Amino acid sequence: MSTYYFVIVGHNDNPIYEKEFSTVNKELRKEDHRHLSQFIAHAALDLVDEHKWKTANMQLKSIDRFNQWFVSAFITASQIRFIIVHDNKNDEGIKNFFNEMYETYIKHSMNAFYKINTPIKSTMFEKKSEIFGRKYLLS
Amino acid sequence: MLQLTGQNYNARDIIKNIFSPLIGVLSSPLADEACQRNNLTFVELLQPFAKLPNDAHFRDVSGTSVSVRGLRLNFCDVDWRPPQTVLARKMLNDSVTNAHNDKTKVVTIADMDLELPTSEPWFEQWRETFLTVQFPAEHEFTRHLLSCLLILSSADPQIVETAHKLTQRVQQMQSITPQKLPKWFHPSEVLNSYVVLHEARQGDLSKAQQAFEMLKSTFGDSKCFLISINSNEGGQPAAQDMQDLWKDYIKRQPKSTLAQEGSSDPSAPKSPQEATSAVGSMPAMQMSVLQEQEQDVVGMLHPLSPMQESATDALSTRLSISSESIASQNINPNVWAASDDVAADNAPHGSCLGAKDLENLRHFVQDYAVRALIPYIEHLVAILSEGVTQKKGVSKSLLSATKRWFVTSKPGAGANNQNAVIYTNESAELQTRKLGDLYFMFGHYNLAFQAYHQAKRDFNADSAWQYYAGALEMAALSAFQLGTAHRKTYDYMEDAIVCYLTVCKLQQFATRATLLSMECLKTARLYSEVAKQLIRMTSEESDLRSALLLEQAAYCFLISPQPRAMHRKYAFHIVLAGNRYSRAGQRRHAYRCYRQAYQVFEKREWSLAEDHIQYTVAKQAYQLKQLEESSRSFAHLLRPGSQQNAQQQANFLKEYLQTQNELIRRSPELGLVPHALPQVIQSSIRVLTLVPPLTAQPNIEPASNLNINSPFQPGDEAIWHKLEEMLVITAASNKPFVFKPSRYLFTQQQPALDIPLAIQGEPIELAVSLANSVKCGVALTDIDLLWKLTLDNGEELSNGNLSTSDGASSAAIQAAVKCQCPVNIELAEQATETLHFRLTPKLTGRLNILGLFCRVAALTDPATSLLGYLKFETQRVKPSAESKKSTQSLSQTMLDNRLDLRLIPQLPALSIGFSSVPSEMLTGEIVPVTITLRNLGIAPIDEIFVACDNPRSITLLQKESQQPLPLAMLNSLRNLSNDKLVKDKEIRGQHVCSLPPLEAQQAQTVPMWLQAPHKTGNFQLRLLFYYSVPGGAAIKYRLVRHIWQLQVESCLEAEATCIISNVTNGELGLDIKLKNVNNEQKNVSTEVYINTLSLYSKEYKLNPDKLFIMDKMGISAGQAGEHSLKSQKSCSFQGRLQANQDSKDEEFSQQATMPSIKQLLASRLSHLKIMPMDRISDLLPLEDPRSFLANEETIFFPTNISTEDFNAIVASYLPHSTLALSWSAIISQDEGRNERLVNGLHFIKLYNLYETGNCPSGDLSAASEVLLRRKSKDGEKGPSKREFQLSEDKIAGSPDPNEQYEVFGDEREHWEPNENYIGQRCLLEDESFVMPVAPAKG
Repeated sequence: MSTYYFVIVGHNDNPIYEKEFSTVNKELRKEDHRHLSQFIAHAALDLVDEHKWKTANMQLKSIDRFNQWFVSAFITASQIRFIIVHDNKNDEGIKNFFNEMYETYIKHSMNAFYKINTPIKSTMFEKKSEIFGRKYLLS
Repeated sequence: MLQLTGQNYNARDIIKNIFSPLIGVLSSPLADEACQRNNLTFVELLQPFAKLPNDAHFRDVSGTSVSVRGLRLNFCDVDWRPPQTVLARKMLNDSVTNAHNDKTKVVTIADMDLELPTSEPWFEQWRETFLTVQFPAEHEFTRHLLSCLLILSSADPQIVETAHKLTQRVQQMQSITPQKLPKWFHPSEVLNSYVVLHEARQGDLSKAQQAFEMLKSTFGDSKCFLISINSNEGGQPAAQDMQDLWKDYIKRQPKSTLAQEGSSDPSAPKSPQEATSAVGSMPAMQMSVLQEQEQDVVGMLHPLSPMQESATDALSTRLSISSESIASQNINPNVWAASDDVAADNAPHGSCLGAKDLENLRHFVQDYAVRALIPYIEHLVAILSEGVTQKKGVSKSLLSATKRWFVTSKPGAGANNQNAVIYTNESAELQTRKLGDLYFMFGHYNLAFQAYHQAKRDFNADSAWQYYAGALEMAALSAFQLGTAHRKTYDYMEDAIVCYLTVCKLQQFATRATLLSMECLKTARLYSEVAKQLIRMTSEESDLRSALLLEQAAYCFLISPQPRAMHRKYAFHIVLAGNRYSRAGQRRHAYRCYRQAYQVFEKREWSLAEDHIQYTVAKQAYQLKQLEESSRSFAHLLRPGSQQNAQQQANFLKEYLQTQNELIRRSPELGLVPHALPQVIQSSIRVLTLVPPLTAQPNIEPASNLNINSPFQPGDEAIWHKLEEMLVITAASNKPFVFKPSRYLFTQQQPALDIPLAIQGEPIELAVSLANSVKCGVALTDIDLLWKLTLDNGEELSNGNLSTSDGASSAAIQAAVKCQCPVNIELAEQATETLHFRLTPKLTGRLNILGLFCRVAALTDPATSLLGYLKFETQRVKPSAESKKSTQSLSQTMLDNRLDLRLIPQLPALSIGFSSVPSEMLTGEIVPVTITLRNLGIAPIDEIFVACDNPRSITLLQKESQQPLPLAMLNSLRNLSNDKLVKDKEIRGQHVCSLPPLEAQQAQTVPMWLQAPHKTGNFQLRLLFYYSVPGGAAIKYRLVRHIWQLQVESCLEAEATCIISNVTNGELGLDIKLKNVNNEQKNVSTEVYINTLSLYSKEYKLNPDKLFIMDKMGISAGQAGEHSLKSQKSCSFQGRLQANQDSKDEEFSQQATMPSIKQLLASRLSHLKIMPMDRISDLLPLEDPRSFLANEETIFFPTNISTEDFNAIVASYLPHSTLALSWSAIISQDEGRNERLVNGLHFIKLYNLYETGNCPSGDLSAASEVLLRRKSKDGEKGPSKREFQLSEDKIAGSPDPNEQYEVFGDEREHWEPNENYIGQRCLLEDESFVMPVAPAKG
């Protein structure tokens, strides 16, 4: 019983990729939380921006929390921010997930037809995130 | 009372004001009366003067004098009681509801302009009310009455008795145990002072003096004060120039606080409406209480769950039922309109007070403080510090002493024993605390800090956590007031809050401490700490408090210094605040907060978050009757690309429709409102004008003309324009002018740069695509175009305001422009549909098509529909590459005029139709076509021309037979290289031909033949008709387009070679090979009959007697004759040539006048019947000048041919003969049920001996072939002068075998590899294999 909301945020604070992972099956899950996750992730950007200069790590774990939700973040060299809003601790899994997604993102951004900061619509990317999400977050 | 708002107090002032000494006031009825003349109570009367004008001096226990600056006394009626919970809640609610500030300032953070309120009066009001309504607590003494003022009137004849009575009452209050409200700071010895009010206008001063003296003698000199007031005549406004000093201080909203006894309730509903609404809504409220209670039990609330305000409303209602102040409960906190209270408040205050009276009052406060209060305080301090020092070390109990030494206390360690310690009033710990409070209230913060610090340690040791927290809180404040605040003292405050919150579970005190801490930390610029503390105080208990604190926290995030300003945190918390406001029923604040949050989220693509904000804004705006805002937000929710699910979108749509309908109902002046959906795909708007109506006649297909949906094909358009140009120039008979092609269809690719014309009475077609952007179906009904027609006289007609205009004029408007369109359509989810409109203007002028209006409804709920319009936007035209070059200086974008048409008066119209042409034809097939032209107008049409893009394929029988010889035929007779020929004119002559004029309403038919090309595939044939329009009209001519789209199938393939069939006598033969290549797979079978072989040649003719059929294996009997060639069969035969004795070429070339085509053709043609069909074909004889042979012989120049090439073609004549093969075929489809008889001609041009000509041949057009051949000939031996030159050598030249063989030797290389050919020749030599079909002559 855990949910993860993963979002990649571009330079203009715009989400460019969003994905939810949950062990709860879809019918039972309340739709309500989706916008809340967005609010939490967006608000956490302030803390990401604050913390990113304080550490050499790309991984910023549990930088923020709101009620039962934690926020973990990862910041790429090009200042693209990966954020996960999660409701249980899973540092190791999140770390691995971030690393894998980072690689996937880099590959995707190398595509000459992809413009940085625009929504990612690649099915390949979608599939990869699905795989890594299941592997590291939900297992 | 407390004064925190409206004066721009700084943090220290605020804290000082909160902890100002509290003075009780008890007045006699007569004194009250005197004050009432000013519409004030005595307490209120003193409010503006509560602050001491001068410094007071205060001697501490060590005897050092401390000056007290700006001491403020807090006067309070002794009968005043903090309100009960329900009432307090209502007061808090009202304080927030009634405070608003619409002024905003703009803060720029992270390139974002955020509009924030300049101040937050609702928060300040709430804070003031919150602090006011608190009950005095046991663990602190700042809220206890220090002393008491007994107010008497000099008019009282028995002033001393009254004074005694009051004293008794006060003393009763003071001595009661256990203490009840109000609480007294030092009950055993309270300073009771006596104030005599003297009304200067009414009483005699000496009498008053007398009474005052009596009091003085009774109660002591220092305890009595005389104030002279009411020197002005009551009733008349005192001094207009003097502003109402009391206005800012008096808040009468908690009027009912005095009504605790329930005698009368001043805040009972004043208007009958209010009363009924209160009563009427009550049962419903009660009903909902139960349900809401159940809901409350169900789990934790979602932090952004949709509005719970009903729950809280109901909750308070439930509580209020038990309360006496039911009726005072304000049912609708959103009634912002002034209640009657305000009106009462607006009555002038202090109307009887003169300037001197005010001075008296001011003086009194100073006097009282210095003469009575401060000495009393000094006395108290002395007593307390003595008590503290005396009892120091003597611990209250042994237990606590040991505890003090051995237990390291931490708040929360023993959370359960919080009430274990009860201090008596005399205990040293409380004495210390009291001492601290006194020092604090009188501004001696240094000693206060020491006292609190001491008290804190003691309380901690005793695990008296509530006391401990209180002491911590005050210690922190003392440090702050002293200006020595540092990390540690802020931590005191933090600890105090945590202790209140977690150990003591005293939310109220924790909140108060947070509010105080907030001021301290803000002064220290520790905004993030503030935010943290504020957010911690949000709880499920009080939505209003949480909302206010969250909002303050949000601002804290924002005002942190620039690099750390957290606008995203701000956005989140302002959303949370908004959510809490809405739960607390504070709609206006909720609305404001969400709007502020939207400034951050706008255009950031956090779609769901944005939707949440917009939905709440829409809801709140709707409730606040701001329907326009509301529907705008709802419209935003229906934007394309929303991530909401279908169900949600359907709800949004429903609410949007409701809101819009409500808006329209309330403000009819808005007229038609724009729809939020469906979306008009603006680039899809297409307009077609000047297209005459179709004439429906049997067996006639109307001219295809332009269709509104025809795709834009630049190449295609160019052909039409070229045709038009040729027509126009022909018609203008070489008058010079600038040609500009006519335009009918205006689309995104073909923008209307000029104003398009339309003709009165003729339809204008318009197509537009609508896209449904939401995930639920939408039904559009009552669709109509919205237009505006400006008549020539300037009058404007529009169907946009039909509903408002009266019946007659609306009928006139409807008659002005007739509109045909689909009335209803249904757009499925995410679907796109194209709507076609047909407008027929009945008037002239300017027609603007503005948009379309329709009723929109959800498919699921067609009853709720909304009338509105969808706007057509004027598109901007991007200048094309060429026009950019030419108009560099002009503005780069132009507006498209396609929706802005000019209507011109009626013009003649020509309706053109054609007899039907099969859509599939065989190569070389010839079909007759009849063109029907009908003049629909009332004027005759003088000039009609028709142009064809491919004149090779048609022949009009209209053509007069006496037409000039085609150039290609002409130059077979004589050399034209010296003739002066104009290229363009010749080309025009080939493409354009004129038709006879038509009288009004007259019709004519023009027969013509059409031949399919000898090439398979798609074939398009364009005809452009031109007809002139009487002079003076806006356009000079009109055009009708027609295009045939044919599919050409292959059928008969023929090849022919001229050979020397008899080497001995040099007789030439023609080898013809035929094959029916029809593919039977398509379920179509064809039988081909070869009717006639004709030869068009200058020098030879076919020998009619000699025909040898060499391969008749493929020939079988067919339906229409003995000899038919079925599918996939082939045959070959050979004919012989003989010299064309009756050729008249010599005469023709010598004649001065050129022969007619007919003569020429007749002289050159010879025929050979082969295997004719039984049925007689009705093809034109080849001798006819209009036959396709003439077309074949004509070289049609491409329109883009260069002058050089043109001259070259004209100058050259390639000697050749043309074979024409006339054939018929029967096509039967579907096993013979569908039969078609087809006639056709195949042409093969032969140039050289042993050169095989094919039909269908290669792709070369006649003109390019000529050029090609000419070039190759140029390279060799120059153009030959004769056909089959080789044979000519043979016949005409000396029969020198050497030469002959030489030639053969030359040729050998050409044909030797062709083994097959040699074989055939061998067969030919052996005559026994040849079976003559035609009986050999002789």
